[in-house]
Amino acid sequence: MTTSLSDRATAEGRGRAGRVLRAEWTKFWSVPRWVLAMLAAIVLTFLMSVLSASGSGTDENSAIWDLYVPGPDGRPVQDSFHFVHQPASGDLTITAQVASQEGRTLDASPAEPEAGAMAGLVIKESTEAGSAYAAIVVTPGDGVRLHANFETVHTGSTEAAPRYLRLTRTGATITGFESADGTRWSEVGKVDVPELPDAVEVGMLVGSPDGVVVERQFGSTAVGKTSTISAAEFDNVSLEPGRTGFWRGDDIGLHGVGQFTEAQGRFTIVGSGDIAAYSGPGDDVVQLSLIGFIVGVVVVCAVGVLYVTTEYKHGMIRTSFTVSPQRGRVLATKAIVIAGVAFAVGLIAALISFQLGQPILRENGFAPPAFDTMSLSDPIVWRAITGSAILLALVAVLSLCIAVITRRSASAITLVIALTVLPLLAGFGLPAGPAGWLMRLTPAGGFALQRVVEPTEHLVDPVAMIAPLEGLVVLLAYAAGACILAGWLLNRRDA
Amino acid sequence: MPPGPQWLPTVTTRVGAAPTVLDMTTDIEVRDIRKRYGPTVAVDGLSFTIRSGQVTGLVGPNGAGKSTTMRVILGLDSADEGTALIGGRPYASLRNPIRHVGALLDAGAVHPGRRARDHLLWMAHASGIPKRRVDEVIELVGLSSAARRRVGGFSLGMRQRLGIAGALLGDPPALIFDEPVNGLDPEGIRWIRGLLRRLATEGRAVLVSSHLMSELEGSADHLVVIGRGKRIADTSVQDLLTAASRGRVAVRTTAVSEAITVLTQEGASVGVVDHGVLIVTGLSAQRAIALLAASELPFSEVSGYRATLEEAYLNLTRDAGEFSAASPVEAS
Amino acid sequence: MTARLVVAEWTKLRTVPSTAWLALAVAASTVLLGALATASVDTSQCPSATECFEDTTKLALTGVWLSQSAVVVLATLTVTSEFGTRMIQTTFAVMPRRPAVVIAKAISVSIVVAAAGAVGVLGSVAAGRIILPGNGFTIENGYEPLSFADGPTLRASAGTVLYLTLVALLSLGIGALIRDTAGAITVTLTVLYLFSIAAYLVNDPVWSERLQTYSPMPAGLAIQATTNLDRLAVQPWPGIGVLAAYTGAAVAAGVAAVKIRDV
Repeated sequence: MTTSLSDRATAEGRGRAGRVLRAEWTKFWSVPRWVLAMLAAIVLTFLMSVLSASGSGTDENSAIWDLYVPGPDGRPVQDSFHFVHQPASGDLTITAQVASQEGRTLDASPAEPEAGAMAGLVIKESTEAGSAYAAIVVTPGDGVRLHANFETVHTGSTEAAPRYLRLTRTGATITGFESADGTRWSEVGKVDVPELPDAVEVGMLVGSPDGVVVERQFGSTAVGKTSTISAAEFDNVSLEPGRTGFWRGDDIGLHGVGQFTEAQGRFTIVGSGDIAAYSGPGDDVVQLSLIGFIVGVVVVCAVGVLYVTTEYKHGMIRTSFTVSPQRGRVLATKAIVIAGVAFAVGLIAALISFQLGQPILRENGFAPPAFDTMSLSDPIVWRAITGSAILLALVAVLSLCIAVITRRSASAITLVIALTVLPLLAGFGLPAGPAGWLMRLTPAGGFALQRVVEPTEHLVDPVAMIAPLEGLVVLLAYAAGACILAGWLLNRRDA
Repeated sequence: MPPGPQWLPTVTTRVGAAPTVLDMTTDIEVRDIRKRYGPTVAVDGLSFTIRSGQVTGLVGPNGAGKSTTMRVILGLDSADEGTALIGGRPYASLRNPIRHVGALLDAGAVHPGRRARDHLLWMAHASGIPKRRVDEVIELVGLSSAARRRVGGFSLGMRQRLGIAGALLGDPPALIFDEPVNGLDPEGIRWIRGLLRRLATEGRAVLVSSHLMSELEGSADHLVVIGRGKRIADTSVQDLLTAASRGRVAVRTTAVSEAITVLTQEGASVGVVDHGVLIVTGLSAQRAIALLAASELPFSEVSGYRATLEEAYLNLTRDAGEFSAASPVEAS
Repeated sequence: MTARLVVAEWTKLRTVPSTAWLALAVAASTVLLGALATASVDTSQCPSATECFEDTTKLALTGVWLSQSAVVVLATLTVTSEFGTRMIQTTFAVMPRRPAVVIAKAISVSIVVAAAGAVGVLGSVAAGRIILPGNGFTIENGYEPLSFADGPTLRASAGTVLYLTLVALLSLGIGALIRDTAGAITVTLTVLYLFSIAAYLVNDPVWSERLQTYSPMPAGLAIQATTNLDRLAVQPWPGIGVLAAYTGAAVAAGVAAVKIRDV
């Protein structure tokens, strides 16, 4: 069997690459200080995570029942709207056109409506807040939705008012329809609501969910909720098999703002409130147990920098390049070694932090129903854990390449810390918009890899404002950019 | 590479209120110094005196404790026991110490971004030495053309010269040099030797350490030989050479093996140094001549053997070497 | 006698190229980050233009969050670079009274940092004066243009220079303790930034307040507050006092370490 020259060259190349890898790995583990520092990174990371978890608490769970009522299955729900209704029983159909929908201020002048303000038809068990129901509503920003028992079951078109809506009850099944002109109807969907008794209240509803107010005051940003009001006009209201009485207007739930007027078959209804299951304040409990990585990042940065600068300081870089003249390969190999070590460190630290931190957080109030219990059996938790490891690995590579560029440990470490840690701090003090941009433009955004909750600008934590993918992209971009520049400089400069 | 200076006249700048060299004899005295680093005893009960007016070599294998001793003298490391005095006073009590003792310990101990002249300038500022003295010593060591360059670009030899300039800055009556010829070319080595001799002639006490005897040949007057932290010998060079040479006769002959046979039969031990040169121990020169003549063996030279400093030193420290490669088998 | 040591240390400081660059970085980053922060806040984010209650002076002086890292590098290097190059041997041979050497270094580094910091502060306040009215912080809304004639603003500005100087001395002390450049800088930056972030992350009010009161950076930066003093965790002068305590401890420990240890 003959091996061609190119085969042998490739094998030799692979062999040489393997040797360089072994050499760089040896260079790393043979310095006790660096190995110890990496171990210290693990310890310091989970210590800080645990400490920070101990110092974090919430009384959300005790406050829930102040604001929410039990739903049909006992879970907390918000059930507030203005209900213009009359009793009915058996199978029925209710139809109406929502002619217009707008927002209102407290003194009844028009305003911008909330995107989720609801106007539509509902069949409800009773006027008690939290009772079973099925409803079809049109909203200014979220289209037409059919929901029942505090869950959206079907979404219809994305149209806003004016819109024709219809609900038909057959036994336990409610069907929702929508139409643009009142003659051609399209079915939005069916839902079974077995909890509805034979005698129900049926009618029109208007509601408006709380708006989120992000305000800056006294030099810091505060996020709060404010109740909103919406008004809608209903026309061509018909009820089959026939009306049994007069329409009554009642506020369901907590608000006292609602009212309705009728003139020649046109109803003008004003209401406030939301119909929704409880969703929690939005804190990312997984991220909270991984906070210690801020320390881990710093330690990994220092080791990554030293891995290079000690070679320059003692002139060993010349030896390295004499042994392996392909400088780009040496750099790439160093990057692989340090990334691998940092990844392992991150994985271990994240696992320990999570396992130790979650029980502490739960004890401090981060528990159901306000916060779901997270455990290692949730795939998204593994995404956060792996994301934390990737965060460390990329910071290590970034530090390595910046160290090659500056050749001085002092400036390299300071630069990396200024880019990955300082923006976090700054983000807390800035308003949401600039803080989010800070996360998208600096490697500090990489901390978003630790999150499992959707990004939101309604938390003070700047990392919460961007998606994990955005964080990965910016951190990767910085690391790649630094390494490209480093490789170019390595080949140009004298050793 | 700037050439070494020719024999410049004695430095005439009076440096502040420092005593002129000839006024005061300043000895460096080390008494019972003991120093350990962790489990290793670096210096173990060492005592010696460096007298003014001569060059004393502190010699020993690598790891013998030379650098440690110097650092203790300069107050950089604290000795566990013992004292080191300069002119009768400990280093820490000296005001403007570089006017009393000048030292070159590590030529590489400079900030690479700083210019050579500035490196000497701060030392002058700290000790009340006028600026022009800085330029003087720069010229003395031959770095005038490189004075404004950053030290990072200096070769090892240039850094040695800079270090020497620093040692001379205060015009001190005592000087300590740790391996000053490291990294110098033959030209530089010759220049150092001349400098050391001249400093001694001026009446200063000069302590030079080295692990290579050949460097000190021709410049040292006195030797302190240490090994494993202990003093092995404290003697003048002359005495050491005489002792090493004593009772040995060099015989130059072409009939090497026959001569060896004849001489060893008489009870002498013979070593071969060069082709045709035998070192005979245990016989006087006359006896050797007589024996060789009796056996009709040709010889061209019989003389009292003059050992080299290196040989003398090797004999002394053979047992005290801490780091030595396996020695080749010697001919006997 | 010590005057000569200060001159010698000053000579060392001015003859090394990094000093000039770092001093420039201190001044420039103070102004740049301060201007950026100021430009990103405007009255539209407040309930109303008059209800912002923004501490515009403190906002304009935000730049120190970044420039303090340049200060850390500068001050740490004055000590650790000597250990790294082993020039410390020469230094202690020339000047054997080691505590005096550390003091001399402290004095010369303080002068450089204070000067650079003052330039930075001047620039920040000037930038703030220009930027703030454009963002709604006008006289009609109750915000006087930034000026040193205003007592609290003067105190905040001078206090910021003092803050930077204390950070420099803190770095010096830690540098003398740890001796290794990378290690000392990492420790100092961690001490400054990490406790600050922790104060935000920990939402338990008791611990958050404790962290704000006793951490070097948040406490030290209290000196910059000109309004809303009743909402502060720690008042301006006690706050800078906390930082001074850390600094004093670091310098004392550094001096002791340098005196006792072999070089």
